[in-house]
Amino acid sequence: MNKTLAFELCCIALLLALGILLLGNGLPGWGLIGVAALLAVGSGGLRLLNARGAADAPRLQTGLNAS
Amino acid sequence: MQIDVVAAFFLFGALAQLVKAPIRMPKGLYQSLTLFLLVAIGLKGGIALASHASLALLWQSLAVIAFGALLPLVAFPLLRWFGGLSRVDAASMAAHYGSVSIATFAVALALLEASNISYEPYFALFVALLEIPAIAVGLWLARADNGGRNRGEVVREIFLNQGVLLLVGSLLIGFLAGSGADKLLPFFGTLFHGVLALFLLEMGRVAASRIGSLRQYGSFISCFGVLMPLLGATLGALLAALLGLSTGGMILLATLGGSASYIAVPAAMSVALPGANQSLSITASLSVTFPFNVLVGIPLYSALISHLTP
Repeated sequence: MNKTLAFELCCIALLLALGILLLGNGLPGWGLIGVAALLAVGSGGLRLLNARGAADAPRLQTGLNAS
Repeated sequence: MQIDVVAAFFLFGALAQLVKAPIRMPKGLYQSLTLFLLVAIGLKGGIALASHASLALLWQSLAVIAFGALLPLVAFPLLRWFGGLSRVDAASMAAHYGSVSIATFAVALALLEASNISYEPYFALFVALLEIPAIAVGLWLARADNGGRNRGEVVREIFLNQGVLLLVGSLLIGFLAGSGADKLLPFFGTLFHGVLALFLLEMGRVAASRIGSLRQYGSFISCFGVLMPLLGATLGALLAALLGLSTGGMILLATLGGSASYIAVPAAMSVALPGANQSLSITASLSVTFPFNVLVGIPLYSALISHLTP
């Protein structure tokens, strides 16, 4: 696992844990849980987009070479 | 869930921009609102400083300066090791996160006043002090060697940029005038919340308009832009507790520790480190950290500190 992904996962887990801890103590923790969810979606979504882009690049290159 | 009325204007501006129905505010008005907020904060702080100047305040000020120098040292290794940023980019961004955001501070002030939480009234002094050390540490971290060619320009940009100048100038005027400056307060005091709401409306629009750039820089920047305010706020609250500040003072120092500059530092860094990617730092501080602090951070710092302090 690369360092950046590890950092992002730790950050999301920390926000989630803090949010739950705050809620358990009757404090506003929903904000942190919401931010953790947004970051998880953003992190996953961007990685998916990048992977798709990387997969499409050789195909495009092949198409250009063929033409 | 209840949202602060001032923060609601930020959300309103952001949502309007996201549905492609931006509210067009004249550039001159936005600059006037910025100027108003800086003068109002500085003036009120200066008036309070006139009656609170003491030796204890000198020690508090030194501790706050040290705090401003520490924050970039916390941010820099995270950006280098985990984010893989170049030395110059990491140093520039660390300087942004070591410095402070006046707008974030203004939102925290508005929240404290709305909640009737008292705070040290001379806090504007700490805001001015926190603007500068992070820039110097950022330059040191970047090992910037310009051969002294633009050193004068850098120093000028650090100390004489509009934000620092207006804040320090009005702080001094308030301090020297003392209660004589009270006659300006109907304007700078009563209108503060309304002006802040208009300012945040525009900030919401600007922050939302940069969200597309986050895709370009990757999700690390978003995670860092949320984690760093929490680290800075924790350190700020601990320092405030050590200094024996009031509950309101703890909330304000936590907010300052958690905020990131997007006006003063970019101006200084663009001169001092022209090779640094300024857009990266501004996108993180303006599109991630500022909205996080306004919508989640400040209410959280306030609730948590009020809960923990007697």
